[in-house]
Amino acid sequence: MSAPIVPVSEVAANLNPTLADLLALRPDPLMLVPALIVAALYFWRYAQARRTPEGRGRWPVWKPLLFGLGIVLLLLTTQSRAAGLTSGSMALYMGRLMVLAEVVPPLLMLGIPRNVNLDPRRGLGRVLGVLLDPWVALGVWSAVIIFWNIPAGFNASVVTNTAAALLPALYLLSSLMVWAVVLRPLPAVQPATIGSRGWFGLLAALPMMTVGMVWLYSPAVLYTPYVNALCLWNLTPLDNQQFSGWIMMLAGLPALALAFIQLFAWLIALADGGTQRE
Amino acid sequence: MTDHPANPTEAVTLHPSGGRPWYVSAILAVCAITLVLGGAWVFARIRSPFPFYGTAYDVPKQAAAFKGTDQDGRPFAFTPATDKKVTALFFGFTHCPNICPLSLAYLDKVRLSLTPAEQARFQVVLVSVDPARDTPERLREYVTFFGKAQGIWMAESALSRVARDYGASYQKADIKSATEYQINHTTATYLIDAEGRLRVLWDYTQLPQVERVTADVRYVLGSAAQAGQQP
Repeated sequence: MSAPIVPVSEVAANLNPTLADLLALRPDPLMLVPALIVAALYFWRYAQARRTPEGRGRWPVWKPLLFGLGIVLLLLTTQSRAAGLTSGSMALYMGRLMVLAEVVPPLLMLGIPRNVNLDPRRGLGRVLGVLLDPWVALGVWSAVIIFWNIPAGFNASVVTNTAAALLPALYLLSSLMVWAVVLRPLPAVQPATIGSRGWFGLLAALPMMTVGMVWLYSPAVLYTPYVNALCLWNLTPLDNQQFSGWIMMLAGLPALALAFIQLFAWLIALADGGTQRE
Repeated sequence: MTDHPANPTEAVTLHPSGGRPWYVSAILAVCAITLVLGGAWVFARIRSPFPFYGTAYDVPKQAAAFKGTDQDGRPFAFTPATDKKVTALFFGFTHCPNICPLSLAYLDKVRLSLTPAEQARFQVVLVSVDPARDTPERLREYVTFFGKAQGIWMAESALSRVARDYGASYQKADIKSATEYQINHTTATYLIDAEGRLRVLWDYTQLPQVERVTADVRYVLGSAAQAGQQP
């Protein structure tokens, strides 16, 4: 993992931050502005859709609730003081990244209204058709996980100088692509069958689960910036690494479970001779 | 995106074959990966046009001044920018079994790889985080053993303030008695330019790459010299 090695004075000042300390406001315009724009657009369109019975049918109340919850979690994760304490806790850093990768994206995807009409041959539909291609999503997600978690063979300068600032955004965006393939909220541009989505989910979970398992069972601290770091809450660097492994594996379990469910649904459909296609 | 209602079955019929051929998807995936990694490289270069090996400060900030006692028992005042030297500063202690000796040894290799003119404008400073045991005499023995560096002692109250100013931390560990203990501490080395600004930091694990660390130092020495020539 690319540990953000910049020692932040906040860590030195307080090695036992409370939940209130972690959630204290710390604006980061790089994430704040796009998140607020997306949320404003979403709720504006939602308000418009609610004017007609048809719109209400496509956009039930639970969808904006989930979307709103996703945005709130996104803001808590990126706009709080916890973002400045990551050099003191690998587990906290990984917890933030996992919220961005495995909690926020499904909430946002489930918030997308039903039957969004997109032309897959033109404009946004064409772009989304490429971005939500399972090959593309899997490639980008795997690249983010591998490049920033196994930095030894890569350009350390690029990795260390982008870890703190860019990586949360990359985790969020690449995981949005992955979850969009799995949940298929835009069928107009997503032709994948439930079987291919199940296989995709299984493959997409592997890099993260593998990294999590290595952290969990490694007897030594693997990321040198953390080897002798002073850690929050009196944890050792190895404790932090093992907690990070747990966090990563637990965060990946829902996606893995969903992949298995989709695979079983596909197998059942196969067994039924294709009479129960989705 | 439009949100007009549409018949999903109609949409699905747009892809009766199940999407684009796999090799087209594979090519698109390769392009996307290239874009992501290339974008990260560009992002890193925008943040720091020079490809620093260490982690560059987004916006160089002024390094904190401090006072202490040097290894010869003389008063020492670190007032960034006044002596026009580039400084590699780190926090450590002489009983350190591994990190501090390595840091000092590699920083001295970096110093020796510079030209004499560059060496004259570069200094290594070790601030002791163990004022109880690191006397100036002990600091002198220690820093001279590893080459040429300044070893600075200061009282605990001043030390905690200086460490906080630099974002460094330290804490006693494995305490066996009042004089037998280790200290866990931040392992970064801070590079401060001749204008007194924090430019880059390296973790100690990066220091063995002497050539790359030297390139960072040379760039900061050079850019500082250029800045000094500007009217």
